[in-house]
Amino acid sequence: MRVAVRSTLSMMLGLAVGVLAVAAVSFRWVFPQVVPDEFSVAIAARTLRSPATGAALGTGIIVSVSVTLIALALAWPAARAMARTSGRWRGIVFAVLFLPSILPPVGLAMGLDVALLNLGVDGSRFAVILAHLVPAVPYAVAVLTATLVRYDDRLDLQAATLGASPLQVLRHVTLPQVRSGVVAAAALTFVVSWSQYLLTLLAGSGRVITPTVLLFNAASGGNPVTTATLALVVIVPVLVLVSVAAGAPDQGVPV
Amino acid sequence: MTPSAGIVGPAWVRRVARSPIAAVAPAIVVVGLGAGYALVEGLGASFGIGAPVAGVPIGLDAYRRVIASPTFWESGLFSMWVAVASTVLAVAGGTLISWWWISRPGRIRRIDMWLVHLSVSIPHVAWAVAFVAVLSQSGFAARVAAVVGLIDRPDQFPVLIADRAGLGIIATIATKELAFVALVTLPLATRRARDAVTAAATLGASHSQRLRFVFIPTIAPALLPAAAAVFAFALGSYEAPALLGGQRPRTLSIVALEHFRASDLTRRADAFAVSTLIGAVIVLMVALLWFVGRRVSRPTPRAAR
Repeated sequence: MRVAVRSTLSMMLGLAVGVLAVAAVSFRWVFPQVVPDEFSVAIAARTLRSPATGAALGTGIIVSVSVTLIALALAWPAARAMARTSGRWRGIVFAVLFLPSILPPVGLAMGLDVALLNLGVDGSRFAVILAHLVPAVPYAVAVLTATLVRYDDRLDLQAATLGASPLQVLRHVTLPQVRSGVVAAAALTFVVSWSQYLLTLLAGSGRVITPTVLLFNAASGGNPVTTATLALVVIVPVLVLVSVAAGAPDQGVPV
Repeated sequence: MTPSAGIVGPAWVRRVARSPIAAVAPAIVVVGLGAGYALVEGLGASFGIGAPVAGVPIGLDAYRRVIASPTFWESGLFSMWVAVASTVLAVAGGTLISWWWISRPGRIRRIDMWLVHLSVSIPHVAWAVAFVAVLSQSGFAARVAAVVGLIDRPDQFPVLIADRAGLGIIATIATKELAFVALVTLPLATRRARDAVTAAATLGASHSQRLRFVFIPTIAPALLPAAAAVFAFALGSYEAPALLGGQRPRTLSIVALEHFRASDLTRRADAFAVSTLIGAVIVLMVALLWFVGRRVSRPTPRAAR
């Protein structure tokens, strides 16, 4: 039956990505052709080479990399503490981290936008980064905690006893052993930021255009070939990063 | 090593800096303050309080206006339908995936994890775009239907995009969220439910008995929060309804954002009134799920883990 699950999921994903890929290189793909008669990469190439796409890719990468680095730095000490404790306050911390997930996304985005307006930073990349941290940090904490619960703290203690400085312990003892988990956390946190549409639109006041925002704009009234091409621009990095994250032994969300 | 090792100062400073509270503080502050500030600002603005709605009279006017709107109940019911249907499908699908995973011995294959992670991670906008390409009347599914002779013209294909029943929106949200549900229930499924299910099988429980009386109660502590999160997302999400919804009925999230983006500050109060009402429904649903959870979940003694 696992095969059934696998084939259902792969069919769904394959169909989605496959149809977009064919649409991106199709030319006059008229009904009822299942496969287009004519292919052309001209529109896709023009979309990829356009200054708008380049600028969006630059903005998207800057924003999502910043979010990833900040979120990991904030999440690391929290995840270490969470991995070592159990009981009531572990539950409280996860409850606070769970809060953004049970707020209506529209309400969260509008509220954060107003908050950023009050702070006077609305409409900048900085504002978008701050807004993305709200959904990204809980994700980073969850994934890092899942990795760190299996890490044996006594190794750190041993290294420290032998005279290693905290930084040396982190660099030479802890990180090498949890590297794949940290890489997974980084990849998935990047994806969380990369995927945001509404938060980016509102916090950025429509001026911070990431590939996801560009895709939404194209989808609501653009050329279907351009839309399909931009969808692939959004999806391909996600495919790559999730594959990187899947290399880690376990990235389940801890409960 | 504690994250604050190397901190110098009086003993109490070092003690605080080394406590777990200091370790979780940065993450909690960013998330709690961010979400909390957003919540307070939004709630205030819906009553005409705060800088974002300066000049708007304080009171319940926004709620009155919003509820008096001719399409409010239509939008509200439509949103509820979309959210409930998506949640039920996602929870059922996610539970089945989780169940299938543990029904066979052995580790979960890496490709299965990859597929589920990929489904969770594909951006909602991209997923919605793909669904339009597949499900629209001239989309891939319609073409296949035409080639095998089920239909002759695009308009004979069922309307699944911008339809009155919101089927396209539901399909988009449910298919993405079922992977999320599977992922969230996975730790309990593999660590606790698998052994319990095996034991039940040894004692002669049938397939459906194992699923209903052993598996679901065991994963319930993860399943119910997941259901709450899916419901909250489905009720207040914007991308799928915006790209796959029609002009009427529109979801409350679309209505809220339209008010919010209008230049009139009064309408901004209306936007927050709508999102507060969405939030209130989510709170009711979370309370309901919590109540159900207390009755359904089987308390597992910690020692038995």
